[in-house]
Amino acid sequence: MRHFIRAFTLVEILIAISLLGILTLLLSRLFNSAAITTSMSGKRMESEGQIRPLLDRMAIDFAQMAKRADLDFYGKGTADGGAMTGNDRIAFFSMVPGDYPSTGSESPFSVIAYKVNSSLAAANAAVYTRFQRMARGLVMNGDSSAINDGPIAFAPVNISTVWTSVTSNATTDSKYEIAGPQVFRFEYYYLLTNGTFSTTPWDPSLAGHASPAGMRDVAAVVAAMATLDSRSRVLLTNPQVATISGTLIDYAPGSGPGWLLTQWQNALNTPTNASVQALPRSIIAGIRLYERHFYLAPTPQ
Amino acid sequence: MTRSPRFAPPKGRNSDQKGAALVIVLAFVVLLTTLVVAYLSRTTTDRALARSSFDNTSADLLARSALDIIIADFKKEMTDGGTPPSPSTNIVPQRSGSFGDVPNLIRRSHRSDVPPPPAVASFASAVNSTDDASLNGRAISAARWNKHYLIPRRAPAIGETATTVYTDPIAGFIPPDWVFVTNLGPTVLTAPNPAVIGRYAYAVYDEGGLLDLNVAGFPSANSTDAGYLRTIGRKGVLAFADLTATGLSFDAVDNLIGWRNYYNANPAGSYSAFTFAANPTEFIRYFLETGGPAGADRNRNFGVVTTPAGYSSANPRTDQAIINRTELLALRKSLTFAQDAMQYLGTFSRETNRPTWGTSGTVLAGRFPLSRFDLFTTTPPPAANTSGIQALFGLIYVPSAGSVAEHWRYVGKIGSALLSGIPAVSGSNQDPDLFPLLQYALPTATIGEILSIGASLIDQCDGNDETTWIEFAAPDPSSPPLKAFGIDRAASTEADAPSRPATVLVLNRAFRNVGELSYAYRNGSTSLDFRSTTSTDAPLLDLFTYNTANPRLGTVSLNTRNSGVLAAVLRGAVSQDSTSSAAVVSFVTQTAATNAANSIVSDPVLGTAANPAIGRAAVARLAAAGGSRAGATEEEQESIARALAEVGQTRTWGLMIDLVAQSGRYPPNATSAADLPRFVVHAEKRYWLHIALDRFTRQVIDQQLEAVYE
Repeated sequence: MRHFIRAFTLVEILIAISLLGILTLLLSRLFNSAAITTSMSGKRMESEGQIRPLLDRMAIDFAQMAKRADLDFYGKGTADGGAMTGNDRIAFFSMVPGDYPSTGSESPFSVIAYKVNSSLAAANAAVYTRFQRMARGLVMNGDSSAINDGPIAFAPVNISTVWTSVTSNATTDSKYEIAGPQVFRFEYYYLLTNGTFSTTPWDPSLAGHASPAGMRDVAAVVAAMATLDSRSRVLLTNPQVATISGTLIDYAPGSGPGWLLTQWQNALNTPTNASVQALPRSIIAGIRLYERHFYLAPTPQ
Repeated sequence: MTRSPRFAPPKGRNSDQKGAALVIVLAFVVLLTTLVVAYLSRTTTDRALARSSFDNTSADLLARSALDIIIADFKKEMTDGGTPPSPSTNIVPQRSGSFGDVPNLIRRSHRSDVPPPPAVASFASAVNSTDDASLNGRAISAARWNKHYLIPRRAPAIGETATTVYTDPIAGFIPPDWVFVTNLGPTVLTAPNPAVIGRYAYAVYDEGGLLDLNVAGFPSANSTDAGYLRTIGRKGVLAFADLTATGLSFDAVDNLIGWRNYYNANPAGSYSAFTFAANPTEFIRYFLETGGPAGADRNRNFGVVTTPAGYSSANPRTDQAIINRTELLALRKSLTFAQDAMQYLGTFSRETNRPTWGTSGTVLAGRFPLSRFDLFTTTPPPAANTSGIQALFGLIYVPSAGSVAEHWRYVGKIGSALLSGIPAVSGSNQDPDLFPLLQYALPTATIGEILSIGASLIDQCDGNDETTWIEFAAPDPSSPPLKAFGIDRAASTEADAPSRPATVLVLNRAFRNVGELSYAYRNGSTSLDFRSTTSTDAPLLDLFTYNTANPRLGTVSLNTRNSGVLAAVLRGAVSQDSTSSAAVVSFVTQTAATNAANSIVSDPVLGTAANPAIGRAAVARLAAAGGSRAGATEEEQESIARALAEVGQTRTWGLMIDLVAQSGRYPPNATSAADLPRFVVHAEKRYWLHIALDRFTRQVIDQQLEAVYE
């Protein structure tokens, strides 16, 4: 006697497999979306987590700037700094601790400098297109034979004369440290005390104002930065990062706050550079843009 | 009943496998929970960081707003106090509280301090910054309030010495109370208020009454070189204040000056071991600005440091500035000099270089530079000086001819005709030549008196011994010209010269300070009076200056309550000068300087505490208060004027505002008056604001905001 064991019909199996496929597809998309969301959120939080202390650090550096007419300020628009295309550089004296030489009495002042390293030397690959800060602690000694470890150099000696590495993104200096490994684009401009924005740190409409003169006309330094999280960054080569950086334009004089970030975001949304267009969209989407006003201590008006 | 084979368990599945689904589901639940917890943890941390940043920003904004409020209160006090100040006691900020033991302290936020009008009260509530800790344990100790050492330290305890490092103030110092800030601004609270967004407490110190260490002090502090001591003793710039009077050792002074003026004082040795020659001429040359063209202004701004050309590793000398008090504290720590000296030392002094006597503040553009008298150094004057002499003095030189000796003709700034009167100074921002200026200061004097004073001033600073006389027109054009005589070492040979005093002292050198104008004579008979309360010559003290920089650095408030500061300025001042290098010169001793300074501050009638100086003209009164401590003669007593008038000022309120601001809130359950201290502090910010406010224009001359990190 034949014994029949009941089983699923072919139609049932087909329907089940179809449902399973649909469910799997939906779930995979759900998980994928969740993963992307989680990943993006993680990247954002990573960027935020790194940029906030950096911005706080910079805020202190700027707030503590030694604002005296007889002390030099190196930056965009100054005689030494010039117009600065691409990543900007800035250097000034500030009352913050720094990296002091091994001998000498430590003064409360340091030479602070910021730049994005662009050295193509193989030895500098780890710092290439990364935001660096120099805090060179100055000593009290007036008799230092190494003047770049010595006391504050007052005018007419310029920062760029003594601490030459501040003048070029490609110049390396062991005193520079990576302050923002995610920051690959750094641009800044000045908020003047008359309420306008400028690429020169003084108000030319005022008679006799043609130099920083203790930054008397500057209320704040407005810095814009672009960051790329570490997970995205490992997927790019240094030249690719530099290429992306190159598509983010310089600040145009007279533009207000937010304008620069809008231009940068537009450049990332619709890249015109073929190399950038070829990059995965997820990487471009991971680039985060920041702009912050760093207010200086007030100067009497 | 038999189970349907369709629903029979698959072959080979045992009972151990029955819970697999549950395990898998639980695993997913655990995984998801872990992910969620990790995510929440991260976002919570992130939120906390953001909150901390927000709180810090709030505290910073609160601190800056509070400083604005305090400054606005001082400006209001100036406005309400009248310009010129009326009554004259309004020339200085009103003091609140009893600060006899803390002479630098002007005001603080304290519930019981009610400064007299026109000062504005602080809105302090009855919560003390030191005694009443917040709900989360935050308090500002008295030692922290004295981090700057502007309050005298308590006596050393058992096991401590004067060199023990501590900042605990004297017991008489009562720390400030908190001023609570709601959305309506500073508010006096009697019970917690949910609208409170933060609080601040402050103390205001008279930094203008301290010795600005960017200028004060000279090296080779234990020098015995007679020529150098005489040069220093003639004063004229704050650099010649004797810092050893503040308790600093000779070595400490030399190390300070060696660091500050490493280029311009050219010390030997190295940091913390500087040494100087007994007569460091480079230092003198720098601060007195000697060696320039005759008659040129000495306008060095001591607030600007210049690194010399050629600065390099091979030539690394440059001067340094003490940029703020934090750097001064670091310098003290590095050089280990006396902490108690810090209460006499500041880093910030400014003065609009303009007089305040009478209406001079608006009529005159500035003070008359003493360097202009250098045009008379040689007689006859070089051709290069003649135009300057007429423009600045209204005089034309006349060489001797026959029986008529060389002399000067008073013709005014332009022209060559003799004048019979002196043009009046009127309008605003005028820069008159000497004689209209003298007439402006001494309105009741005749033209003869004015010209005789001018002639005597020329005699004091020219290099010859012949008596100068000035020819001027008589009121009646038909009458012969008249003569006004000065006094020099040699009596005039003119028949109509007045009789001269039995003894005269003629400097025959450039004026060093405005007080030295007292060596001049009126009508060739009586010297100018800078040492009595009834002096009519005193306005001259306010109208001349050695250093013409504007604003001027290196000044001391004549109304300082810190008598030790005045003692440092007075110590070593020449009390009896001499024109002979071999002659003995007398100096104001430490004891005499201390006694004179105490009298200047505390004399119940003439002292500045009871009767503040409204301008440099008041220095004559201060000399009356303390001059007898320096000696009995007129010259000795006027050493007070010679030391103080040039470096003194009254028009600037030089303040250092020490402010601590805390952002935070009251908890919901804090409702009663007893809960007032139960404030929850979120973040804290401390600032030292150095600010120079002009009492007469109410303008901020300069300010420096110094963030304090502890």
